[in-house]
Amino acid sequence: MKSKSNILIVDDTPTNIEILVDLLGDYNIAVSLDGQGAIDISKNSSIDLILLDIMMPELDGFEVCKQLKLDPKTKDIPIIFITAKTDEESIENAYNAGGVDYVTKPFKPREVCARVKVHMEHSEHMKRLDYLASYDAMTDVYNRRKFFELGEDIFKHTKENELFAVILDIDHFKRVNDNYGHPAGDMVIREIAQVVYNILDDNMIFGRIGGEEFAILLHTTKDAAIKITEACRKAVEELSIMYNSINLHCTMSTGMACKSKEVDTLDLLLAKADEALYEAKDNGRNQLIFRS
Amino acid sequence: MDNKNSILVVDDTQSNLDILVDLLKMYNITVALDGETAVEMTKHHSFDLILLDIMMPVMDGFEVCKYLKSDPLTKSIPVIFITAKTDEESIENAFLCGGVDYVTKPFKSRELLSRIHTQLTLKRMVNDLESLVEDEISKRQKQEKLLQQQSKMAAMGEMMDAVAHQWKQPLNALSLYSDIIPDDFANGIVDQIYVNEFKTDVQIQIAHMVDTLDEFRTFFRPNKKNTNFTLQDVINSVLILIKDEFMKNAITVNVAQQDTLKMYGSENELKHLLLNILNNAKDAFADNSVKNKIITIRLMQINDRNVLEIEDNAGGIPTSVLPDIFKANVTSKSEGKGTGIGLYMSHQIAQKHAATLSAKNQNEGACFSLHWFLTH
Repeated sequence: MKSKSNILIVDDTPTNIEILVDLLGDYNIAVSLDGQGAIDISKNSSIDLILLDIMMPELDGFEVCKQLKLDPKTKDIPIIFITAKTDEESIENAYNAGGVDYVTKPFKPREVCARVKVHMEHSEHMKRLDYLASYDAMTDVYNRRKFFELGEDIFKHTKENELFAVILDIDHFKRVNDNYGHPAGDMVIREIAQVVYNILDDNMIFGRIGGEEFAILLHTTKDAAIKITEACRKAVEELSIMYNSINLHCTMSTGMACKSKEVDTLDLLLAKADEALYEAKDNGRNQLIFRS
Repeated sequence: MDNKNSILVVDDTQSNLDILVDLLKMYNITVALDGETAVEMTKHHSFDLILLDIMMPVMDGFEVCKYLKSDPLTKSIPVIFITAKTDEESIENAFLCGGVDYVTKPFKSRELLSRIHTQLTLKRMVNDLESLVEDEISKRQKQEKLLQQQSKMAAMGEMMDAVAHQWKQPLNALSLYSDIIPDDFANGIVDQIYVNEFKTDVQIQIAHMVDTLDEFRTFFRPNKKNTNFTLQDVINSVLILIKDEFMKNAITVNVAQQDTLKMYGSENELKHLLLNILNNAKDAFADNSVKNKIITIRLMQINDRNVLEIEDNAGGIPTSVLPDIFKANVTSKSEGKGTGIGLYMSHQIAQKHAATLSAKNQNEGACFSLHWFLTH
């Protein structure tokens, strides 16, 4: 069963809200009586669609919509304006602010339901596509494309000596495939990705960039970056993967590099980390090498 | 850019069409005066959006929309209904048919433009994402294909190596025969009998080469069919494969006791199993320095069981490794050796055939035995 979608209704008149809450009983409903409250709720909980009044004291609907469209966290939430204003100017403003639909009061209940449904479906379709385009199907972590897209962004917004790239490569992975078959290899990749993912924080960018190769971008200090990478390596070393009642054990080699005056592009940073990784492999595997 | 988008406008009133064409002149506009024409047009042109009237003779707007949504080619074109009907029933119906928006006549021009613009933007976002997803999928497919290709090539290479190996000895013999014949001719000993013998010798070598080639071809060809087969056949095939290699290493393979043992399953997999154990023994001989290298194969029926034993005199398996010998990732060999199949795989093959593969140290070496129940 799919969990119900969340709709936020924003209106300064409680009776309007009551009508809409009754009407949209198939959804989880959150309510706000003013604009600022609407913004706070949108940022802090996962809202799938917003029904937004225009005329409200202090922050009006246009302003709320504009602010939500500016924040990457909330910009994709579809906003339907629902208002007594019927002048063409307001309608146009609503669309310019980033709204996807405009319904005038008094509204027809079944029309509102139909419009909510259409935009909900569209937004779900977009989310599904976005997921397929950004995540690796096998491991559910970022794919190469998304990793580099987010990576370029964080690279721009961090200073020298505070961005670290780590490349992680499963040791002797080919042997797993050769000895136990590809399903076993796939399982190893999935389990290792999961273990590493669980250790990392939300603000770290973690992606699968090759067959048995992962990368992390960490915006932190050198000590913290080393600590986290070592924690990942140890966790993988201790990991026991059950495949057809066989216990599989793997290790991984990790190479780390830091953004600096010379290392001034993401590609260069990852190339440096890759060099360090090769050093780790040559040095006997299952270890971290840092290349400053 | 919006102005490159093409929009199909469908309305049975020419004056309505004129107003819309005038309003939407920044787009490429195509018009249709009835539903059938509209449907026909979508088959020959690709539209980014359709503005659709509801009340039309013969095929009304709902039917047009339903039809378009049922065709994979047109189902993703956004449809905005534009109509004089304002009853809730029609509005709901329009959305149910797959419409994305509903505008009532008389419409406000700037509102209509905003609604069209919004739907085009939403559509473009979907298109962009879809092409990204397609890229990702085709990338993944390419990678998988490459992997398959690589493993196929690796198997081919392995086969080429093995064939080359097995052919060395008969090729040597053939070359020897052709070296001798001019001298023998000069010495006058080439007569009818000589020629007959020569022919027989050459043919034996060629037959051996052909056999080898056939064996390797079936060996590397994945054969999914299960059949009834005898273990004698399996052993004979494998012996052809390894004969020359084992001769080079001075290893004698004796088939000591030969009850007829039958099995049902994949003959090829059993060949893999046997080859793997024999190669394992060969590697064990290489690691130790044993003078008379002997591998003994026994085929026995003991009570209600079939037993295949392969015993070598290569010194045995280290006791620390023995309990785990069929577990994955366990090897007693130096790094880099091994067939890539592994004893683990042999164990798996045995299990698949309702047989048990076990190993122990016996006499002067290791003894692998395969047990399975008689079938009647």
